[in-house]
Amino acid sequence: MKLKIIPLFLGFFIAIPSFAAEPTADEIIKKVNDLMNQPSSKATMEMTITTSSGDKRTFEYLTYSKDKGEKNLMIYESPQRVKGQKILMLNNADDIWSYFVRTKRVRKLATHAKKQKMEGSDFSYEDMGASNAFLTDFTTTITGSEEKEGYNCYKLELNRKPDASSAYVKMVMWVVKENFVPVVIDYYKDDPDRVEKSLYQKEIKVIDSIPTGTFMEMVNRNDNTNTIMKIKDIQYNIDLDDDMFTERELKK
Amino acid sequence: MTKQVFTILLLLASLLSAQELDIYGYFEPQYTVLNFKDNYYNVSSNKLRLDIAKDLSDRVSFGANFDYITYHGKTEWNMLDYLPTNITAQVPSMIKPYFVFNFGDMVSNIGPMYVDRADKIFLDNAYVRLAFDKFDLTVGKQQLPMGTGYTWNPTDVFNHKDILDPTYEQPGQNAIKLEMPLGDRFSLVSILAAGEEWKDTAKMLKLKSRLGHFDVSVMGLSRYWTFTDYYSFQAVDYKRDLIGGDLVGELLSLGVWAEGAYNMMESKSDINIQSIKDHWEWLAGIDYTFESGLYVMGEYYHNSMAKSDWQNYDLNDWMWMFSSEMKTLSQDQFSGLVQYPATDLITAGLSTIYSISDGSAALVPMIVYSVFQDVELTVFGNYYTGKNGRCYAQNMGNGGLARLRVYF
Repeated sequence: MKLKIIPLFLGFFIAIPSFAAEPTADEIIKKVNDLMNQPSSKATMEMTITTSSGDKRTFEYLTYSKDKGEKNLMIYESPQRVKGQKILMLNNADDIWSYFVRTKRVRKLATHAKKQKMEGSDFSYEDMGASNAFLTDFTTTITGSEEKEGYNCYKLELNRKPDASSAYVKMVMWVVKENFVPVVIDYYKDDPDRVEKSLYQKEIKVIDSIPTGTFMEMVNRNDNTNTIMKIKDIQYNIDLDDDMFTERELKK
Repeated sequence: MTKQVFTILLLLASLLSAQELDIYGYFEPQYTVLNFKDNYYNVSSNKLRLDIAKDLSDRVSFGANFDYITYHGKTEWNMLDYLPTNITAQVPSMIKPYFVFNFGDMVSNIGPMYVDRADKIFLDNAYVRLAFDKFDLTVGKQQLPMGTGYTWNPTDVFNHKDILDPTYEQPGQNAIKLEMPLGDRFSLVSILAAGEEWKDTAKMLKLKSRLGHFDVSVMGLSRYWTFTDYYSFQAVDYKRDLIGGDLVGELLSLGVWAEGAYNMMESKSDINIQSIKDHWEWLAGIDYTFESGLYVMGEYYHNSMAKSDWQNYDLNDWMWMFSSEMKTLSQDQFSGLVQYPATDLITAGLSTIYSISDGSAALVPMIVYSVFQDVELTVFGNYYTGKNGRCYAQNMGNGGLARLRVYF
């Protein structure tokens, strides 16, 4: 399985110009996938969880990504409870290490850990980097064209392949025809007729000449909770040393 | 004690005024209740941990923390109360007072037994990390996490894990640690943890590697290890040479890990405790996360020096477990954990430690609740199922713990 986790969700925000000819389903999903794999990036993210009781928890973290998302590093900046905690992912997140600052312990995690919620949010680690999984774990078909969130969109249906390990049996995705940004994704977990949660992408801005969404909201239909992610700062195509993506660097 | 607090505050104030330091930490009040011999006992503690850190340059960083812990409630405990009657009957009456220990304000320990929970203020960690081109050197009092095991770590001779609370942070050790990458896939770790003399200085060499999707290491270690003969209350030094290793990775979508060590024990005095011998210690574990977020973990642990028949447990076996001179009382054990994110803010779990050798178990239900941002409440209970004389016997007392942690 080739799942990309943390920085790759940045791809959700990235837009590119469309082509004149109507693309096929495979071409569309490949373009979405390519958007999620920029050569390198560095971003500061803010994640706010709103629980069913209205309580909020806010996290801030840095993400670094290199080699089109093959190498990823995430460092929590706040709150104090998780400050300094790091997650390193190599080989398209097939190898994951977590560093716990209070115990100074580096622990290799199995890929099933991606099914866990990210700090109690409505995002699982799998949601954060569904890039290559769209190609490797799902079969994509175009089910129509629709207006969604004010955009003219392709409506895609992604069905899980029999041997794939994704947590989702199905996804429905609305991709903006103009720039291939997936503005809405509905996730189906066990029941292919019941939406588990929905991802909305908004506030698309041009950053470093790349159209980038800076606001993402995941709404959990079962728990009546939601999580908002904002890009506070992002730079693309910067020089990142390979040494950053090592266990040695995790402990610094 | 007051003097020590002022000294540390003064030191911190000086450091603060001198340069910009990253200061953080937590306050942790904790309340424990124990039902023991038809009485309910209370023990509470307040812990203040203050961390300071500073990156002096790209290559030099400094970190330290002070801990200040006070204990309240029942602060005097007699270890003999926890032992089976056939064991306590073997203890000569003249040494029975040595099994009583105290913790609390200004109370000193009685007897030679090591007590880790006295009311105290101390420098837990203080180290500098120097990053050279080819290697990193960490010098000073520092945490030395070892091994891939969750509940036990056969290769760890530096820390004493509480098996009911195995992820709690461990105190720092005086050591020099060298970490040297050898290409992309290998690295070398060397540790020297100073003793009084070179011969009792712990020396460790570990080679780590990535093989496929596995992290693998092999290691060798030599250090002195003290066993107490509790029949005579005499400390006996052994030279402990250990060869071992660990691995962690993924197999058939399951997280898997293993850790093992062969310990060669050589008495360095005229006394030789009969049950101390060369021995194997190893474990293997698996874990998995289901689509629902349910997490399950299981770990099997074996120690060939520990006894497989509970009727052979003697006073030393029991006390070595209590004092962490050994990691276990019974030879074969299983640790299990089930955890589920009940809500965005609450995680519920149940862990168990089961002695395969004697059929007893400890059950530990647990809830972790994010009360506010940076305020976390952990509540767990402990319930022992075993009959008298077994590793996790009911007469050891059942109870629970509530721990609030406020990060700043």
